[in-house]
Amino acid sequence: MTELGSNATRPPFVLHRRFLETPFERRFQGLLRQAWEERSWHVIAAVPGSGKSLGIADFFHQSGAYKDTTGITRLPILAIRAPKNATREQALGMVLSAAFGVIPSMPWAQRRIWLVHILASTGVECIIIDDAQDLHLSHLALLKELTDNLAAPPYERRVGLCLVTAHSGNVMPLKETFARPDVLWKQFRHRMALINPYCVVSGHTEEEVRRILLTFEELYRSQLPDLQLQRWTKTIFSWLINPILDPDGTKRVTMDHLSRLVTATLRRAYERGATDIDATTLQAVAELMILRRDEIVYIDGSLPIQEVG
Amino acid sequence: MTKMATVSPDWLSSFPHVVEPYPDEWFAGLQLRSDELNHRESGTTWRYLLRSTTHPGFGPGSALIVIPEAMLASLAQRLSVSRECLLSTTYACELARLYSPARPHAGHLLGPRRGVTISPLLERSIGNRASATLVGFHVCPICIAQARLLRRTVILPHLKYCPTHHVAFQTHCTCGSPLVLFTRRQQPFVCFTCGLDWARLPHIQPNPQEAMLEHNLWTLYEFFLVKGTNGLKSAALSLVRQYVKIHQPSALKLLSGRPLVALTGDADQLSLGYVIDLLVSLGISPHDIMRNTQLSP
Repeated sequence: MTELGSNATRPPFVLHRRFLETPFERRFQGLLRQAWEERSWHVIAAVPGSGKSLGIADFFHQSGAYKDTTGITRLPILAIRAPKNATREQALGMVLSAAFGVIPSMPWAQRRIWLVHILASTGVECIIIDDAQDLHLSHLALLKELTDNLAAPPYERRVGLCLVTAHSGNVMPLKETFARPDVLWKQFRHRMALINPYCVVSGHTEEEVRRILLTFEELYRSQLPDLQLQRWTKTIFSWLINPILDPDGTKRVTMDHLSRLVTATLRRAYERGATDIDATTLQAVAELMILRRDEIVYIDGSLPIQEVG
Repeated sequence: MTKMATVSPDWLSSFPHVVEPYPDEWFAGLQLRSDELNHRESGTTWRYLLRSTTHPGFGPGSALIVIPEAMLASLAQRLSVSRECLLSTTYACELARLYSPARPHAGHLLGPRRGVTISPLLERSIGNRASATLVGFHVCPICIAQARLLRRTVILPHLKYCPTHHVAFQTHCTCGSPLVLFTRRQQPFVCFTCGLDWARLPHIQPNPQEAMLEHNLWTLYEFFLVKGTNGLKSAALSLVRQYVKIHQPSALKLLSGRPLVALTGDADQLSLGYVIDLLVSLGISPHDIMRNTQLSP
């Protein structure tokens, strides 16, 4: 690792927070796009830290939504996060309403009718709900009611639905709920897509990690001119599929773990005045993530500066 | 025309559907249009504005001619338009020019307020549904039919016909109920009693005398609102004084039915409505006023 003569004049390390279209995001957004284009219903699951929320945000921003001062608003993709710790249908109604902007208060009976009007007038074509594992049965029933009303005259608009969930183990979230014998769930199940109704989107393979590291190299080359991240692909991959970071044994790497490891290592190397990373720095950060992950630090006196990711 | 994307910070702080005012649109009409586009009951935007600012509110007879700054700022954010754009939906700038240095207020256009507008009987019969109404609030059915437009001209006193379409302003529905600007539990631009769309109200043409009178009124309004100043208003009033001195029309009744009173004291503070009433009744035209201005030292 080359050390610069003096780092006294070096500006602070700049972390790039831009969205990266990783192989996971291409797979994930591909499913979202399919639901949008075919107006189909899916449950899409991935392990926590995969980049689902970032992918939804990027997909939403690319969807061509706009508000025009002529009174025309287009919101082809309505992306929301499931309400937390709120079991009543009103909670989901409020979250759905808020996605359109400022809504003067109105009684719930009026709001559920208003929601159908606004979904139609803004041209909503697909509803994406992040953290859908937090949805309550009453929320799902409301979703069915709203989409049924949209599909009926006078609107006659079919809407796609993506329930994006975090999962772990071999349990597919919501599948059990839709398998219930009640008529409501039978109808819900009937609306699910024929192809890929329940999907699990995998994390990154070793080859995919290599390609992402190449992107990181380009992103940070201005700050670390001799950066050669690709050569650490195998090492990084094997660390990140350690059972502590990959408890389900998927042998895939999540973007959250990968970016934390890389950016923390780059920051440390940069702050030492280096122009590339070395094995010692990389290993120290990996140990922090894997071995000393749950370590309790007692703070007394001045605060030790330690940052991962 | 401006477009706002989802990444804009204004996305979540604006109404779902945003509108900018049409040329010459009245502030209250813009709110009704916003209510209609956003699938809300009549007056929702207005009530939201009243609640979202610390303004104590307006009385039931408010004419919504000059709007408080806080309300303009709040609505500008919700509609994602400039404050100046909203200011043009009122007569604040025109009245400020005519009555400088006084702060503009509705009295500058209408004169002193004359009681509430909802009679006790009507108030009882409709409960709290009539939440805001104006003295003789009226609409042009063609403006409504063409663009859901309430022009600022609907608040000018004495005009009985739309200066654009030359049909009578309608104050009542065909069912007999008065038109109410903002009504709870009813859609915008419809009768609060029978639900008839204001666009379907009758189109009544003026007779030649009425047409001439309306033309004279509108010419004077245009003259004062477009290029009027305090000086021009004073010149007009000095012409009125001269006329009264020469002709001494002691029993003259004005267009509005009010008797001619002596123009003593602070005549500069007479409302524009009254000034125009005087000028039309005495047959004084913008041409006469301009000539008088040129002759004055």
